[in-house]
Order: sequence, then C-alpha cells, then structure tokens
Amino acid sequence: MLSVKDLYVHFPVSRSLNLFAKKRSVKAVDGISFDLAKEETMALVGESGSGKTTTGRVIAKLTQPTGGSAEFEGADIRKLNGSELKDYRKRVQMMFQDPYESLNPRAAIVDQVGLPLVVFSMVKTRQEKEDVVSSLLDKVGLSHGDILYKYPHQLSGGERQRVSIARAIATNPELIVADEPVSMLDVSVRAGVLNLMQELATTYHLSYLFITHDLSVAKYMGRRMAVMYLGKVFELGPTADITSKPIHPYTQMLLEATPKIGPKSVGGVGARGEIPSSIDVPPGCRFHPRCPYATDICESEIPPLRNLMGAHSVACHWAEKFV
Amino acid sequence: MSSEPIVDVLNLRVSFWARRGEVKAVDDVSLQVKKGEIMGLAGESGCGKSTTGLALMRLIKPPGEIKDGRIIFDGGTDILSLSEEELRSFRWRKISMVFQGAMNSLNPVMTIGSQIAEAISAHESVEGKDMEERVAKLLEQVGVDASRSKDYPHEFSGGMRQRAVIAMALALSPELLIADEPTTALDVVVQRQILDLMIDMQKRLNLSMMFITHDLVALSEFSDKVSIMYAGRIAEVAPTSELYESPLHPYTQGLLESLQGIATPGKKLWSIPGAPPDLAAVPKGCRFRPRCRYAFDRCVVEEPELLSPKEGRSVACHLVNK
Repeated sequence: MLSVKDLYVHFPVSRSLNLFAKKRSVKAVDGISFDLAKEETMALVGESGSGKTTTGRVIAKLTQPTGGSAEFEGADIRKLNGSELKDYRKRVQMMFQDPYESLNPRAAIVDQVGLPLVVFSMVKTRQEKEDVVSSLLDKVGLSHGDILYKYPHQLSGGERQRVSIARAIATNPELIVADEPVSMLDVSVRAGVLNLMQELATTYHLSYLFITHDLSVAKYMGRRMAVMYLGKVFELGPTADITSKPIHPYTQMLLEATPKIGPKSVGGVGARGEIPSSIDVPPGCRFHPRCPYATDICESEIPPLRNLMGAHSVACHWAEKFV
Repeated sequence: MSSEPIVDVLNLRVSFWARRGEVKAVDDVSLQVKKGEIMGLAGESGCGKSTTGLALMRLIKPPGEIKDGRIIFDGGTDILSLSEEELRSFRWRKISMVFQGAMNSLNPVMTIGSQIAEAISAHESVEGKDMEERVAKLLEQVGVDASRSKDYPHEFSGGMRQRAVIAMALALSPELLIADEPTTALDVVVQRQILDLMIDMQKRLNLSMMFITHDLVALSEFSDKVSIMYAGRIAEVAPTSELYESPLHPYTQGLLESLQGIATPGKKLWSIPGAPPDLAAVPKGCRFRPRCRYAFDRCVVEEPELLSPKEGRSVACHLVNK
C-alpha cells in the first residue's frame, strides 16, 4: 500500500551572514526506504532527532520531501493535488502526540469530530452530523451523550486522545499516521487507548504507521518495526525478532537502556554518548562515535541497509558478527 | 542502611486555592525516608507527588498553602516550624532538590560554572581559586569535564545540562536529595546514563533520596522502597521487590498489570477504567472506588486509612485491611 524509497527531507538553515558560507541543512530524513502493507501496523522507533516524526509528516503530506519518493497505492504523494489530494486526505489521517494541543480549544467536540465529515460532504444536516459523531464517539468508548457539546478543557487526557481517534476514523481512512499517541498519557489510561487502537485496526481494516520512542509500546502495537537514528533506518524487520535479538549495536543499546521490571542487569554495550546534531552528521556510519564495536571502515563508509535473514534488514558493516 | 528515618512526614495537607474551590493536592499524607535509602514516590500526573516534594523544601507558594502536618527531619527539627531565617541555613544544606524540568531553566546568559558558584556563595563564603576548584570537583563528580565550566547552557547537551543541575543540587552536600522526575524529558539512552549517575552518587555519598516519578518500571530497578500515591493520598507502601511481586492495593495491581501486559503482545491489555478524580471534588469514601473492580458498600462511605496488614507493608484499602 505504502512504499517509501530513498526518501530525503533536508531543512535549510541560515546561520551565517557570510554570503559565501557553505549552505547547511538539517538532515531530518536522510535516505530511508520501507514498505507498509494493507492492514499492517509498522512501528517507527527512535529517539528525538531520529527523523521519525518528519517521516510521518511526509506520509501525511504535511511536509514536502526534498528527494526520493513516497508512493501510496502507486501514486506519488509528492505530486498529489486538487481532487486527488482531497481524496488522499480522506484515506490517510494523522494523530498527534499532544491531545491538549491538537484539538481546537474553542470548538465543541461535535464540531471537532464533525469537521472532516463536513469537509468531505459526508453529512448534510446538523442532525446527521450529531448522529454520526455520536456513533463515532461510541466506537472510541466515549458513549455518555453529554460529551457532544463539551469542550476539550472539560475532558481528561485519555478522553481527548479518544476524541482525536474518533476524528481520525471519521473519514473511514485506510492509513493512520499516529505520532506518539500515548506518550503523554498516564499508564492507567494508556493501556485503554492502545487496546482501542488495536480493536479499530481489526474492525476497520486499518493500517497504522505508529511513531514512538517507547520500545515496549512499539513491540505491543507493531508486527514490524523500523529503528531510526539521525535520519536513517538502522534496523527493519519483525518486531519479535528485533526485540528478542537486536542486531544493530544501536538497537542493542536502546533495548538495554529501556527500563525493565526487576533489579537492573549488568553488562552489555552500555549507554554511551548522545545523539549528535543532524546538521553535522558524522561521516561513515553515523553511529560510529558512540559504537563500542566501530572500526576504520565505520568511520569512512556508510553502511547500507541490507537484508540479513528473512525480512530482517540491518545497516551495519559488522551485522553478521551480532547474529 | 540504618533504620532511622532521615525524614518523617506526618499527616501532611497541602491545598491550592483555585476558582473552583480548594484543591486538596496532598490530603493527609504520612511517609518516611530512611537514612541511606532510595524511596520512590510514584503516581500519575496530578496525584500530589511533586507537591509533597515541594512541601518538604517548604517551597509551596500562594495560592498554595501547607495546611497541616509535621515534617520531622533527622528525628529533631520540624521543617514546618522553621523561621525564614532558619530555613535559609537548612534548605539546600540538609535537603536539596532536583526540580522537574530544571535542565531547561538554567540561566542562558550565565556560564554553567558561575551558576554552580552562585549556588554555593549564597550559603558559604568561598572565593577565587577555592571556588574554581570546588566547581571543578562538582562537575567532575557528575561526569562533566571541568574545562566545560566556562560553557553556556546552550553549549551543553540535554544530558549534560541535567548533570549540571544534579551538581548544583549536591553543591552543599545535603543529606537528603529530592529528585522530581529527573529523567523524564530525556531520551532512553541518556535517561539510563542519568539514572546510573544518580544511583552511583547516592551510594558514594551515602545520600538518602526521595525519587519522584511516574515511571514504575524504572523505579523497580533501583529503589529500596516505593510509595504509591493516588489523588493526593498514599495508596500503598512496600519494599520494592515485594511491591512488584505482590501488590496489595487494586490501584497498584492495575498499574502493574498494564505495565506487564504490554510486554506480551497479542493479549488485550488490562486498563483501569476512568480517570483520576478532580482534586477539588474528591468522591466520598475511597477515592479510587469509582475505578475499582473490587469496590463494595463500605468503600462508598468510609475513607480507608493507611494500615499495616503485615510487617513492612502498608496499604489503604478496606478489602485488604478487613
């Protein structure tokens, strides 16, 4: 359904008054490729600055890429306009991280969730809008009738995120780009939202591009995952394989650093350094300054993402060593 | 670890006055941190955990007010009865705090070194070379190269800024350190580095620590004891290993089920229905009752007290304390 090939998103930065200074850019996404099948959920995992959100925004057509292609059912997302674009917006929806900011504070819930219905002429009368919105709210577990005319500030974080979900499914989309939909929610409500998203995926044959920094959430939601670092995909494959046996040293570091219930285990790759600026990306493998296994080749040559076994791909010169 | 408490909080009440009325952020909380121990204070947003921390520092400002209770430090002083004058020599020297988001509130036009120096000179008369050495030592202690003391905050990465904040909190060698979500805004790997650093410091300096967090998973790795807060009250207190093996309060059970469930994909997650109550209109009886799967008639009318059903465990639940 979705095919991303060698995608680049570079944002220019103007810092110097010197006209002859070299043009610099933030390399938010720096050549990534992946596919997403119908009714599949893929998790895009990475730390801040990894380019996962930018990738999602390109898919939702909120950011224009500077190179490469992203195709949705054969059509290039970059070239969509007019009625094609309108159709695309109906089929692909986005959910944002912050339920406090992604809802209009001055619009009643019925109007927020009803907006896409009006835009796409799916309802004709006010009464019809109310009916459709209540049934949508019902589907996301907000069934008490008085919520229709409430405002976002009267709802809890979990309820707001459910409203965002209702709004996203209003147009019967095929793909939802969900950018950290649960990272601002407390544990006790997070589980409910994740459950809901999974149920909806089955009921409505939805695909999700699920963007998260949390490996445990990625593992729960996605059958496949892509681990990103500084604009590149480092590891791509079935979630179960990657989380049980991470191959890329960065994925190893990430998994090891993720807290687990129980006393802390010792040993492993350790937690070294911090993600560098995406303006001055290290040459060669961009992880080499932090990698405990880096050798000369890692400093000079960019390792391509290559298939190792089955559907598991890794971008590391020494990948075989870690299998 | 000795069994003497470094701080003993008794029946603390803190309220904020808002337009919608009195918000009882901390509502009759008693807790204890023993010497040399890491006590984890965990709960969800708005449960009163940060307010409790701030009350220990006597940093509740209007419209907030400490209404009642005692905070006994090291078996002697009641922090709540100290005069402003006494408080100045007490705060930061005896108890200090790493505030939530402090790494983003460093002064952007002052070097890191001079900000640490300022924190010291407000309490001690150290000058010139001595001060430089002291700052250098503090930075080295938290894993920042001393040569970076002349850098400004924007030249530091997020992790380094958090290290600097920790150095500042430790500048006057406090006995108790309150850390409020010290790793929350950080990336996973950096979070791990900061956690490792704090635990290492705690051991080396034999600090007592109150670690305030929403992250029960992280807490399981290093705390000695965990206190779970819900809607302004303590729901349960237990030694860490026991809490995770056999949680007694239905709220703790629900939280842990959600957390453990996420590790097993394919299964439906257990989630606690509903949301925490508005602290300006707390339900009568047990405040967790509207969300509790075991609630019975007594829970509707009577607020459960924090009692000890067995050695070392405390829980506020009618079902357990029958």
